[in-house]
Amino acid sequence: MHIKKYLVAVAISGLFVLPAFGQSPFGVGTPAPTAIPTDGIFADFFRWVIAQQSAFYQQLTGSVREMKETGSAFWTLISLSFLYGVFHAAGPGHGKVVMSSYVLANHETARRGALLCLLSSLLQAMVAIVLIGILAIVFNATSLVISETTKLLETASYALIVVLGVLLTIRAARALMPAKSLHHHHSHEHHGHSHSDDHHHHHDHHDECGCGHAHAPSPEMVNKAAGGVKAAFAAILSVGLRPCTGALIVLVFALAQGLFWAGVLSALAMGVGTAITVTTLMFFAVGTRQATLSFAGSNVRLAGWMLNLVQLLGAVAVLVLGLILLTASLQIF
Amino acid sequence: MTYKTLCKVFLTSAIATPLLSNPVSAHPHVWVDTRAEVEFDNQKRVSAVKHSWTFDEAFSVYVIQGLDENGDGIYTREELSSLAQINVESLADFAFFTFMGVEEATVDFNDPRDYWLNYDAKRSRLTLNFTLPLKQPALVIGELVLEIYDPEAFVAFSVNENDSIKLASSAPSNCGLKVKPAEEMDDAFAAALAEIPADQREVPDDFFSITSQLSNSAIIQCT
Repeated sequence: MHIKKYLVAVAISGLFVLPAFGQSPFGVGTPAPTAIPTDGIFADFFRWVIAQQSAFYQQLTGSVREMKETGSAFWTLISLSFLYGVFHAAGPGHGKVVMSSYVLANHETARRGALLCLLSSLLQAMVAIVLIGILAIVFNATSLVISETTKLLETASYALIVVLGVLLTIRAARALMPAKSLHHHHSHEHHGHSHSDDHHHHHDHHDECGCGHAHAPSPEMVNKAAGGVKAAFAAILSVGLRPCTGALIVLVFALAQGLFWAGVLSALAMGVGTAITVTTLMFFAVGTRQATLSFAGSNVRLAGWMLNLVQLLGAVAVLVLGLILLTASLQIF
Repeated sequence: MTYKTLCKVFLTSAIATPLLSNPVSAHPHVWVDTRAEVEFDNQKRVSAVKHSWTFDEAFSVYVIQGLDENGDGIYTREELSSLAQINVESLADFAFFTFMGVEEATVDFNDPRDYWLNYDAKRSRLTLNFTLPLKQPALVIGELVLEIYDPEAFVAFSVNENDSIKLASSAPSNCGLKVKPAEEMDDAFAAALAEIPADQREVPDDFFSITSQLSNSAIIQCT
């Protein structure tokens, strides 16, 4: 099978693109792994983003210290955290790749996609808060333990991206199978899933039909029927499970100043900022899909085929990303 | 590996690379106030670099979390010793961010000795001290250049004062040292820097002028 060969090649190539990855020069404080082009046409943009992010980060710790003396630093802290989140997410990172590709691969609506982005970003903030709450406050664990735990979460998150990629790829490959009319395909899938899956999907897919995706109802329905909760869950978890190092450091720093709650609010503000950026990028992904649809015009068959192709590309992107991140992360262990 | 497989791998890499290449952990995440002393042996040769790096406040507070074992609020050298050990072990993979040589010829370093951390509670700043001995002590003929910097810009090393890098008291009287601090990183420079793959230590010639901007260099001259 083609897919199998492809996977093997992907796995091997994962080993090739394995540079010094996500390792801190001081052994603690895992740096955020970067996973998006820092070369090419967007390089300048990313550099700028990174410069902004560092600037906010440095002011952020300053504002936590100020809060000890004056409460008026509160809004400064919240705005800086929010901006840090916005810029952090705009820089290199796997979260937005997963989200955008997932939305592409899963034919999610923009609204549901935005909800997924918000949930995953807030989960990421909560994971950081709970991690520091338990490890630092309850167990007074060292930064080494915190770093190790973060690494474990990171690996789990990458493994989940692989799972998500496999789920999406299998589905996309199935949808692309030729020699079946879209209509038949649709009902076939539908039946298959009423055997193995829950009934929930039927409702979803009626919603979708009412939601203005009238151009190509068949593939939409197919994917919605097959998609749903499992993949959405994997997407949220895979992005949200890995806490951002910036949030961890601010939380520990706030804790040391006796202002843990300020750290908590800062982490949440970062989460909201991150969600806004990731959502914006995800909207581009949805836009691409809509453009594909309008390109196909009124040709339903062509539209369906093209949608499936976009879906496959999105799915493979998630899978490749997951495999590379996972291989890299396991190498460090 | 067969030719066919190689082709496949190449193609897939070509697809994967734009997605993932150069995972430069480029944002400075740690800021270091750099101090260093160049030591000499009794044969007037450069024998070691004695580092003293002070980390930024947030990183300092983060890494000492949980290390005050007896809970007396004081982080002693003993309590911080395990962290110091991990610091120098990890730094080994990054060549200790210390580069010394004359043009193309660079010196090799042995494992660090006398490494320890001290925490200044008043300023909330942690300082890592370690001595990096040269494998072969080097006699300075003309000049010898010492550079302290992170080519990947994950750690921002800064030289705040003119005597941040200096010769130790063991230096012969005919030698001197001139510090050239790194230039402020501007966006265009950072963009160019990002073009250098993360796993590449040696920088292509065209980039030499760029990285030398980033590097805190000290020129040791003996007459």
